[in-house]
Amino acid sequence: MRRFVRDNGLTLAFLVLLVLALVGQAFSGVAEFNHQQVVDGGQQLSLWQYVSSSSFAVDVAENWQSEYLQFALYILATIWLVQRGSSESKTLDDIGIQSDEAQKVGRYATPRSPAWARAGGWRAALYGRSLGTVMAFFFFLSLAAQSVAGQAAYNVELLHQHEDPVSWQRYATSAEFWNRTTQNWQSEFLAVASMAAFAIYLRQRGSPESKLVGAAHDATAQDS
Amino acid sequence: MRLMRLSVSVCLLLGAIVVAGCGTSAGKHDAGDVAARFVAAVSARNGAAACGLLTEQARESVSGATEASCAEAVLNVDEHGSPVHRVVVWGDAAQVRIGTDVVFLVHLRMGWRVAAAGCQPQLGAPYKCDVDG
Repeated sequence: MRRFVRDNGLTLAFLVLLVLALVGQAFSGVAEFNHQQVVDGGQQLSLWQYVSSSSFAVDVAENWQSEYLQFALYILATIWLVQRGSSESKTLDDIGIQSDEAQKVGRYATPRSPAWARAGGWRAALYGRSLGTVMAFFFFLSLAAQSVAGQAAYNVELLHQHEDPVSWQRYATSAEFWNRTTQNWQSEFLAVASMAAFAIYLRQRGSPESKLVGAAHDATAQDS
Repeated sequence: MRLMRLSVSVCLLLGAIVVAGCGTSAGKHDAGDVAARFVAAVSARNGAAACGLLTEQARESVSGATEASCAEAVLNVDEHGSPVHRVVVWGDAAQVRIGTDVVFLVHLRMGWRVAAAGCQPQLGAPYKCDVDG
């Protein structure tokens, strides 16, 4: 057990933080929601009613889709785009999907390589694109969840304001949907750009996200 | 296997979000019924029954700055008893089209109550309502 926790500490720690943050969001969210209900003359909700409401659902989904978008774009962009001096980038002569030998695919695979990498052919091709594909899949799934939950939450608000509710198609092209979406996207892109740039000149000893402390500023990739 | 379990968990959670996002309907039939009873009460000049179906804010808005009680003032609302022909419910709010009228309701602990009635559409703005709670 202790070894399992040590070997998987990074994932476990962030899963715990995820749960704590969701709990915090639930408590603060229901307080704000119920305050607004007093203003609108609506019914106050219990914590459980709130976390199963469209209001909570859209707030969660809009954040999840932007995080998955960030990682999907980052994974794919770093195949073709480089940043001189950054630990977040490949070296400048490594642009592209690289050779099978460099990627240890097919006949270049080792006995410990994953089965589909050893198999070569379409299996290796598919497996070699699985990370970006899965991130993109969860992005589109989260975006769909945001649009469904968002339409419901928006229509509740419209009816309280004595306005006509809107269809899903109208909501998905509305300023409300795209304002929620793009305000999340801008923060994700800021984070990636900041990390790529800061990692050129700043160091964090011991972190795989940083170059070695003594590495030159124009040295690209982590082990330079 | 661990990756599969995590992926399935994320999919189930997003699925739950979609279901929650569809909103918990407190009953189209009940909302339509309350709207119809309100319109019928006003048409039958039964102000007390009509006011009993209003929210507290709506009752206050009907009386307004006048000294008239809700039961007297609500009879000034222009209502024509007609069948309900469309009910839309999202979460704890509903819109009922009844005859030429549009009624907005909100679901409270005691059930559906009329929040606004005698509503007319305004281009690019909320409905203008004779009863507006």
